[in-house]
Amino acid sequence: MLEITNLSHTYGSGPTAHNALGGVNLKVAQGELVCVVGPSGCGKSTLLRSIAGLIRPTGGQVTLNGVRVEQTPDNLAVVFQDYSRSLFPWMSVADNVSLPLRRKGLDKGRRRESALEALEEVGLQGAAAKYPWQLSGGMQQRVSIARALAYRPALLLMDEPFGSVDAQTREDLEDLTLRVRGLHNMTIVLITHDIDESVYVGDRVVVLSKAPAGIVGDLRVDLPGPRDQITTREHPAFVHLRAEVGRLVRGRRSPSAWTP
Amino acid sequence: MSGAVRVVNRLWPVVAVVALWELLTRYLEMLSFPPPSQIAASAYTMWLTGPAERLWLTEAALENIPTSVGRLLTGWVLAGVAGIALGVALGRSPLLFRLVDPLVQFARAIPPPMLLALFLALFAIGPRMQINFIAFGIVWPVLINACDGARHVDRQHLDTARVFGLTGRERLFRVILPSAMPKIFAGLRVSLSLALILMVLSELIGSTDGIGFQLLEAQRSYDFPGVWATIVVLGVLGYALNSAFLAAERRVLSWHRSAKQTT
Repeated sequence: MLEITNLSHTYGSGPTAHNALGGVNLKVAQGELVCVVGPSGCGKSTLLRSIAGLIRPTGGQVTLNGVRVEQTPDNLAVVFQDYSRSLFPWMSVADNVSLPLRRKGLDKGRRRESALEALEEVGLQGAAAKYPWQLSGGMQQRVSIARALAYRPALLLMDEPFGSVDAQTREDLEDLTLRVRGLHNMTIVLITHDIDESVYVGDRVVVLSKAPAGIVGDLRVDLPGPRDQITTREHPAFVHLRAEVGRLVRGRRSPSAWTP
Repeated sequence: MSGAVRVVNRLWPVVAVVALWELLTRYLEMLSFPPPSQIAASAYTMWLTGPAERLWLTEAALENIPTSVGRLLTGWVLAGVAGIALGVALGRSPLLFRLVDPLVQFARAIPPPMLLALFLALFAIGPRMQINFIAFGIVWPVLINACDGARHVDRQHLDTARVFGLTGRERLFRVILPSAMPKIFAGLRVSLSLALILMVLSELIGSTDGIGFQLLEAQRSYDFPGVWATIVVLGVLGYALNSAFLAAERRVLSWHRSAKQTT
């Protein structure tokens, strides 16, 4: 459903130009949850912004369900890392969630209904009338997820969605993502720099190299489901995959190639 | 601490200053510095010796104060609307900003009192001249703050609006304006106090009624307690306007204050 062909992007021009993406090719199938992992500053965010239509890549193209992404597509939602700058502090939680639904042409009553439903799915049914800043960080990120869910996107992009919360909350949110994904059969592309997280959450882990980013690894995650924070993480396949991804991220092909 | 004690704690310096002033002016006996008791008496006869059915307000009070406040507020609202509209437009359009900003910087650098002659020439003496003069003189703080607020909307808020396909109208009214609102309010507050100054100024020169006119009349007839009484009324008016504005701001920007405290 998502097809990225030879995508490249350069910021600026001349001697100060920064080549962030150097020809990325990626296909994501309907219903898949793909984690994109790479070292910080490798161009992950540039990739996400190109998919979302927030920037116009300088080369290559992105197609979503066969349609080339030029502007921000109407069947795509994004959960940003920094929830405090993504939710609008002047609106209640319910208004934040229902605002994007105007684009769907729903009337006020239906919008509110959908918003409350989505909030219930993330376990925040009691917070509708509150303001985002009255909630903890983890709860605010749940609101962002609810906003994306209510929007019913074909593709959900998540940009380091759990990077700003504590470890316990992070695990809760990972499990929440897995659960809601099952409810709506969404296609999800999750960008992270956390190797464990990519293996735990993903069906597939795609590893990006340093800038200009290219794909250096594409691994299928074959773990017995349903996933569980304790047992999955001690499963030999998990431990093995995690090491494999870790090597790819650090640019070491195999243990034998390791040099101090 | 009980409410009464708090009030006493806050107000005793005022009482002390007034008492000192009374003693000093009585001792010095200068014609242009009447003691506060005389000022109070003058203010009382000037404003509060009317008939009971009009709440004891005199003709002068009922005519001059509402007239002046009306001009001030009309000018302020005009300046607010124009300043917000133009400021947000400038803040969101780099091209417009480049073209218009030098003009804005030039126009706002002119001291408003200097423009009084121009406004007297453009409009005849009367409320139209006064309102336009007030509005033009006080529009700049709102305009510049609105422009600044609209320019510095968080990029991620704008990205979010784009991703979720908000229309231009929704972006303006639900993202850009609320985001710029704290700065706009700061500008409106400065403008409100400027409006009081320009209101008096315009009435001192181009008017036949209003508080400023009354001040001029008292001065012309060497009624110094009357001059002082009018000044006191202007002070009270400024204080009341500012308090009302702050109360409104607290309501409208409650999200802003609380969000700042919790994050």
